[in-house]
Amino acid sequence: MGKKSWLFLLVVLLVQGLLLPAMAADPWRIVVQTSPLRQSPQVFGKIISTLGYGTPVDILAEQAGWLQVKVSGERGWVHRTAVARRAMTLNAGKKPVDVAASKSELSLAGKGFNQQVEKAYREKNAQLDYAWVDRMALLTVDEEQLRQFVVEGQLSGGGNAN
Amino acid sequence: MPTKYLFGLFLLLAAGCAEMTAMTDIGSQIAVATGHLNEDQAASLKKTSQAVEKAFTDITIEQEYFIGRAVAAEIVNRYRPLDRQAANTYLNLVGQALARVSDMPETFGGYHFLLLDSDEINAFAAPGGLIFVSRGLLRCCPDEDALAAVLAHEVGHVQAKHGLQAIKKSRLTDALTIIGTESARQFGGAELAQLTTAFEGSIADVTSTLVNNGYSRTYEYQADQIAVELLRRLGYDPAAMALMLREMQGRLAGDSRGFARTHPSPAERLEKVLDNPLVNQKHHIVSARQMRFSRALKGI
Repeated sequence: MGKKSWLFLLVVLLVQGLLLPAMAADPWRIVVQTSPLRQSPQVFGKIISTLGYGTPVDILAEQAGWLQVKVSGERGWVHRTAVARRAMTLNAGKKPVDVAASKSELSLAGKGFNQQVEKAYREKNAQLDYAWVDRMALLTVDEEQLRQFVVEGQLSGGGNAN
Repeated sequence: MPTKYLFGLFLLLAAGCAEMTAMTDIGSQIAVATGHLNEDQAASLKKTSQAVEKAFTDITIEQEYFIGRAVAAEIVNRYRPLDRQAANTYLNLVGQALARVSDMPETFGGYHFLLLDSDEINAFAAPGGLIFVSRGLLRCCPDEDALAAVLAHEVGHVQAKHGLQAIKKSRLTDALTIIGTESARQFGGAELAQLTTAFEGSIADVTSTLVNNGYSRTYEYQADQIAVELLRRLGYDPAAMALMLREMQGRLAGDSRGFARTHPSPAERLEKVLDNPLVNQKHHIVSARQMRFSRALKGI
């Protein structure tokens, strides 16, 4: 390929670099089922509210693995592992909206393996029993229970260095 | 300007950009349209830029969830879960507290821990945080701190995404070339079939590593390192790590099943982990933890 072609490609990329800011990047969103919005960047920080999958967040600051965010008028902290850039639209012809919708309305944004693939996989492998996988997902402990467990066991949930 | 410098500059621009593939794609479309690149050149340019992105790091948190579920289904189809509420609740209290202080406290579906009704000494960590421990392994734990060491090691595998790294790159190249960025879009028949096959292959890769071959020594030592750090962060005694490995050393002698088959020997792991002064000291037992440990795991 000639020198001229590379030069042309270079120019194209440079122009795109200028245009990119004009092309809005996907917003930062909560990418886990639910994530607690905490008052402080701490493992057991007081929970202000619970954010659902897809909720867009404005990132204000970063501190040791935590992100200070503004969401629906509230300010708080979420862990960075709960957040990523995502384009999302609602299912079945509904208008794209920039608010958190219920899980049944949002489908998991998806390159590759998603809900549809799991369904097809399970149909193809009918001998697989997902019953215990679903039951396992219900094995949770609530915040207060966990906090008490840590305190009673003379453990330290306050500090962390991530 | 020599061609190679232009090329280098182009690569710099491309590499610095997260949307590299998209940009290369748009760029090459324009270049083809104006006659500066032919179709083949454009296609190979796109392929190269995609190959540069490391396959397993492209697995999103949502995909990790589905992979993890399928691997978990494989585990519970091989080992019977132990349906004991008190014991499982206790396991989740210790385990989720450890997950909280890890570098990956949040996964799509969260961390969940389940006992398996097997005398084999074994534990499995599926991607996304579905973690299993056999009663055989539980019986090796003398106290809560030792149990925490076991669970912290499994959390370490999830945090470092060791399970996902077992997936052969070819499976993911298949999966990731099928664009599904519009969440409202359903995959067509042929695409879905291809994705399902790639998914099946991925699950087989992870399951085979967990159940048959085990992780590499490097990954096992890595999980041990992370475990020690998690124990320290939460306030458990890191010396319990050495306690656990010594216990397993004693019990696994001559056993070719479970742990013995899928892990480096406890002796090797012990040698590595004792380099840490926090581990290489006398283990302190906290009586508050001892009582609840005994109570929760009575009869296991």
